[in-house]
Amino acid sequence: MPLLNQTPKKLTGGVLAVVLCAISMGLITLWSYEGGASANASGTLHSLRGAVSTIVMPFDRASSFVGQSTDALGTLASDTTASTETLGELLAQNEELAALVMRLEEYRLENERLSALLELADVYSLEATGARILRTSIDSYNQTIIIDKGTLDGLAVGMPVMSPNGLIGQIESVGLVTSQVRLLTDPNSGVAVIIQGSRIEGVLDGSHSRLLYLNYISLDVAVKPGDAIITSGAGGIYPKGIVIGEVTSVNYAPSDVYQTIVVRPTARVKHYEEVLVLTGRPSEVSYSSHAADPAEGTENIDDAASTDEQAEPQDEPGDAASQVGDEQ
Amino acid sequence: MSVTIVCALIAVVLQLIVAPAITIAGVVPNFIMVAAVILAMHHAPVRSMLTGFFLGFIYDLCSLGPMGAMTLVLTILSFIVSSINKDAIGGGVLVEIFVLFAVVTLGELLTSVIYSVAGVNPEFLLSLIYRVLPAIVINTVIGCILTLIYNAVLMSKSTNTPLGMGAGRKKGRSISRKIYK
Repeated sequence: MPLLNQTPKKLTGGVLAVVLCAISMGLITLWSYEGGASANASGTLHSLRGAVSTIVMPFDRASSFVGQSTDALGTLASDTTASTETLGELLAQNEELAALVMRLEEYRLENERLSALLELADVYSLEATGARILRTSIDSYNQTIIIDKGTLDGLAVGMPVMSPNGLIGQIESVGLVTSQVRLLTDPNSGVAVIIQGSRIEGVLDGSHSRLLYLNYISLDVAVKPGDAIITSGAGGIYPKGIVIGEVTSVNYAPSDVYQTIVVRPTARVKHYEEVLVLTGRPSEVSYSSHAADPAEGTENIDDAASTDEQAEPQDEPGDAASQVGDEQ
Repeated sequence: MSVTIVCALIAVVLQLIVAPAITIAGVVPNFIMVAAVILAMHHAPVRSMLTGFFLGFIYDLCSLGPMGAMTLVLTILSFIVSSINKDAIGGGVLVEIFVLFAVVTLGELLTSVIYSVAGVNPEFLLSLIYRVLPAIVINTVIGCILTLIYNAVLMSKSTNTPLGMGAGRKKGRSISRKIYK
């Protein structure tokens, strides 16, 4: 007995299958012709997607509510099972962070005064607008989030998106009232960065494992776990000096050309309900001072970000790496 | 037809509202794929393929993947499932679950390949570990649950089924009319 039916009626199904598959492949071809997944893609299909994103906005809001409810349930479960030891650790950590914030505030005020004195534009006075996260992507291959602001609020494709703890991605597509943000951890994301201590530049790429990989760092550059990674400003998309994450592991074999550096992002999207969209273009907000002194403005903030205790051990490998760089 | 439309709409709503909230290890459950497969098990090829095609198109419209990718995948899956000869393999829930597992595996692999060819999935081999394998497990589990619900709610009254779970076309029509009214 045959596994598949071979009646004339099924033949009609076969013809229909061929027609529908041809239409589907035509859609894929047209989508690719319009620019595919690139940020500057445009055309009928991409416009249709923009329109649909506006129509499904109520579903996005409902999804946001469901997501918050499940998060609350998860938090409740973890809180009820948390030990007193964990609670004590968190309280101690909270005290440390509070002290760090006070110290950082002092440095920020000092930096503002010095910047005003030198008549430099403040690299970090970024023009930004807040937006609420509605939901994440509905497919597994795109690590994106939907936010509740669009072209009506002045958003545009390519604008960087930040959380209080650092950069999280950039706007991929914009509808009237919603926008899709591609996260840094997406395999298609890439950002030019510098290692805070050594000032060595590299490219940070996302991956399916939701970790970030710092690429194109040669073996003779000293990188160690704990080093902070910040944006370099190269490429013109992201402003310079925004914190992205810290190095968690460094691996390489003697035959390798580059090191395998894993970076853990400081900003985890699941921890936030709101984000900041930088509406001023990077060229407007950072390059005025970049011409005057590209490294100094950032290093003031970098120094402020590290505590006095941390500064000393960080300086040594940083200097060593700089020397290696100079020798090259 | 009304049963198909109602089930398809429920799948779309679940995909838009619930799926993003229950992401596991970066993998989003695909209610739409599971629904298309289950509906294809219980309906004739033409209706199944049209359902798969439109469900896939809606999925593509709401996601950032290549437009037409899920449309193509679900059309192929619906054609395969609805073309399986019920007399050759017998019927029963276990058979349905086995078919679901096999077809979901094929669907996830096809999706990964198409996304790679379209340039959306640059790490094909890694995606097999981090996306395809977990997605097969998650979607099969969801599929099992939805299959049991579908059979409990609708198949007791039955429709005509390519996989042999239904009792006949006549009863299927009557239940459709009831729901439509």
